[in-house]
Amino acid sequence: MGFLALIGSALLFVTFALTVLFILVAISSRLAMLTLLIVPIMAVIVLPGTSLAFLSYRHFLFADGLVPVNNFHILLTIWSTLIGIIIYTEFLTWYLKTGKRKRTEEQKTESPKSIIGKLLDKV
Amino acid sequence: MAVKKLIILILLLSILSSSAYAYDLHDENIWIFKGMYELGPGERAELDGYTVKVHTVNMSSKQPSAILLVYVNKDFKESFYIDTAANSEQVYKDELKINVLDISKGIVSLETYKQKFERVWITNIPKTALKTSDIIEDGDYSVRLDDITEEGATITVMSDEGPVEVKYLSGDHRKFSDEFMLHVIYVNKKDQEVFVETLRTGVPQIKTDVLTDKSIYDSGEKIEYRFMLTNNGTVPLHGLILTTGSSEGNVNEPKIQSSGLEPAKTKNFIIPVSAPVTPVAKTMNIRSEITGYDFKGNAYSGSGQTEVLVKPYISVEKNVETVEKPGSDIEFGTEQYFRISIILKNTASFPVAVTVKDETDPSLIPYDLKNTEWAVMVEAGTLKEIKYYAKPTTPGSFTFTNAVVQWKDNGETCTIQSDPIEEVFQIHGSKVTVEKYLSPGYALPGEEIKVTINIVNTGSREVEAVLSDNIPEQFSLVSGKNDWKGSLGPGELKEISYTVTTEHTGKLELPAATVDFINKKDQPGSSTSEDPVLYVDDMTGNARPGENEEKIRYEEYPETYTEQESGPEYPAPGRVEAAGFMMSSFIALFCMLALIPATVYLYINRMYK
Repeated sequence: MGFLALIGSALLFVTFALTVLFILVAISSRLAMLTLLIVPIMAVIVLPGTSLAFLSYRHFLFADGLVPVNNFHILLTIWSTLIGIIIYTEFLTWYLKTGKRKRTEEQKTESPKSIIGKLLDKV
Repeated sequence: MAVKKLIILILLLSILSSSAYAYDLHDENIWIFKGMYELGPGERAELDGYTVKVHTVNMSSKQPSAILLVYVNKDFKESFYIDTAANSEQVYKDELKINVLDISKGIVSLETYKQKFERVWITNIPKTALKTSDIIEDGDYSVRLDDITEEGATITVMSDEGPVEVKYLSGDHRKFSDEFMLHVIYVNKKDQEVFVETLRTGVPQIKTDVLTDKSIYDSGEKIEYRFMLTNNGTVPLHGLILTTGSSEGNVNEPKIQSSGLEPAKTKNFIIPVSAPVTPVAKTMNIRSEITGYDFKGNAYSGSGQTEVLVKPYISVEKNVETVEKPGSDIEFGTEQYFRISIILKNTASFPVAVTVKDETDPSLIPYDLKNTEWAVMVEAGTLKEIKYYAKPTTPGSFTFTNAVVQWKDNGETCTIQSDPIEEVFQIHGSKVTVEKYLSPGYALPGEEIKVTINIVNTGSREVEAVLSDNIPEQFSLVSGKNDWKGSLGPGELKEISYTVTTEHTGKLELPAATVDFINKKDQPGSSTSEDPVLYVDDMTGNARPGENEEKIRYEEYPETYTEQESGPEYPAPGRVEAAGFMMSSFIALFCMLALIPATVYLYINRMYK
C-alpha cells in the first residue's frame, strides 16, 4: 500500500513538474511560475480534504520517527527546484540579451520566448 | 723422708711445667693498638680494665703539656706528665703505652697500646712432608729441603730477598719477615723426611649488618637501631670506633667506642635514634661507619645503612563495618547499614587543627549529617575518633574511598589519606526496579502501540511482586495483559507487554506502572516506573514533540478521514488558512531563490548604465 502510494504520488508530481517545464519552454516563464503556484493552491481551495490528505500522506520516517517525509515536503522540494530553474532562466535570458544589445547598439524587439525556447526553435 | 719426697715432687713439677709456661709459636708479645682518642680535661678513655684520664691541660707555656692519670679497674695507679716532645711516649708497667700525637686547643690526641700475647701467626700450609730436594711454595716464598744429617735438616727458604739456608731440629721455627714463618714440626732422620708447616700473619675482616625493629615509624618515635659487627678474619680487631649519622631525626650517640673484637665473634651496638617530627611522610636514612685496627695499627673499616619511613605527625585510619538493622526498619529495603569510624592520631608535641573529608558513595545517606566533613582539634599526643553511620539506599556492593585530612603547617597545606579499604561490602535487601516504555513513541491515530513493562529484582532476596498498571480511557487494549503477580529471584527479570491503540492525538501521557512486593521476612516495598509519553501525529504536521504541548490541535477532513472524530472543542482551520500557508511557503521559497539573481541584476544594470 505504501509502495503504491509512493508510485502514485511520484507520477502526480512528475506530471506536474513536466507540465510546468513545458509551459516554461513553450509558452512563458511567467505562466510557468503562475502554474507552479496556482495548481496546488487551487487544489487545496477546491478540495481541501483530499488535497491536504494527499499532501500530509507520510511516505518515510527517518531518525527513529522524528523526521517524517510526506507529500507536502516533496511539493516544497519541487517548488524550490522549479522556481530556481525559472528564475535563473529569466536571469540568463536578460543577461545575454543585454550584452548583445550593448555590442550591436541595435534595438530589436524581443520575443517573449525564453532562450531555451529559442534554442528549441532552431533545432 | 717426707721432705725428700716433697722436694722431688717440686723438682718434677718445675721441670714439667717449664715448657707449659712458654707461649705458643702462633702468639706474639706485642703492643696491641687499642685505639686513638681525643680527650679534653676530665674526659677518659676506657681500655679493657685500664682507664686513661686527662687531668689538666696546660696550653699557657710554649710547649703544651698535660697530666694524664692511669686507673686500673677504677683504682688510681699513676700520673704522667706528657707533651709532644720528649715526653710524648709513656709506658705504665710494660702493660700500657700511651703515645701523644698532639696537644692543641685543650684537646689531647693520643694513641693507646696494650702489651699482650696475641695470636698473630695463622697456619697457611698445614703439616707437609718433605723429602730431600722437595719444594713447597707459599706465595713469594719457596721452601726446599736440602739434606738431613745427624745435626738436623738443612732447609733453604727462597724469597725476593734471596735464599736463606738454615739447619733445623724438630720443633724449630724461624721468621723470615713480619709476614712469613717456617715451622719444622719433626725431622725423621731415619726416613730422611721432614714435616713442616708455614704460617702467615692473620688479618681481621669486617662484616656489618644493620636492622631496625620496624620499617615504619611515627613522627618523633624512638627507633631501635642495631649495628652488628662480625669479625670474620683470623686476628682480633682493636680500637673500634662506630660513627652513626642520619639524614633526618636525631642520633643520640653519634660516636661509640669499643675495645676490640675477637675473630668469629659478633658485637651488637644498639644506638638510640629519634625519628623527626614531620608534617609529611619522609624516608629517613641511618648510616653507620665502623673503624678498627689490627695488631700493627692498620685500619679496617666497614659501613652499613638502612632506610625507614617516618609517618607524618598526623595519621588517619578509617574503619568500616556493617551493622544489621532491626527487623522493624524497612527503610530503602536494605537489611544493614554502615558504621564508619575515622581515627586521628597526633604524635607531635603540639595540638593541630585539621579538616577531615570523607567522601561516600552517592547512594549512602549519612545519619544526622549534612555532609561528611569535619573540622576538629587533635591535642598533642592524643587520638580523636570521628564516628558516623550511613544508610545504603539500595542493596548491592559498596566500596569506600580514603578519608582525607588537611591541616596547615608553617603556612603550607599538608594532606594525608587513610589507607585504602580493599574490602567490598555487600548490603542485602529487597529492591525491585520497574521500567515502562512504549514502542513506537511517535505514532499515528489508530496505530498499535506496544507497552512494555520490565520488572527486575535488583536486590539480593526473593520477593513476591504484584504489578499495578492502568490503561487510560483514551486508549483501548488490543492484546496482552497489563497485570501480573508472581515471585522474582535475585537478579531475575519479568517482562510484561501489551498492545494499545488510540484515536486521540497530541502528547499523551500514560500512567506509571507500580510494583508492590514483599520479601520472605514479610517486609513490604514498592517501586514505580516513570510516566511514558506518546506523541500522536494529527496528520497535518502541526504537532511536534515539545512544540505547543499544551495546545495540541488537530484537524478533521471528513472527505478522507471519516474515522477521525475530532473533538468539537478544537476549531478546524479552513481551506483559506491552508492555502495561505502554501502561498506563504511559495513566496518564501521564491524570495530565497531570487535573492542572488536579483542582486546580480541590480549590479549589472547599474554597471551598464
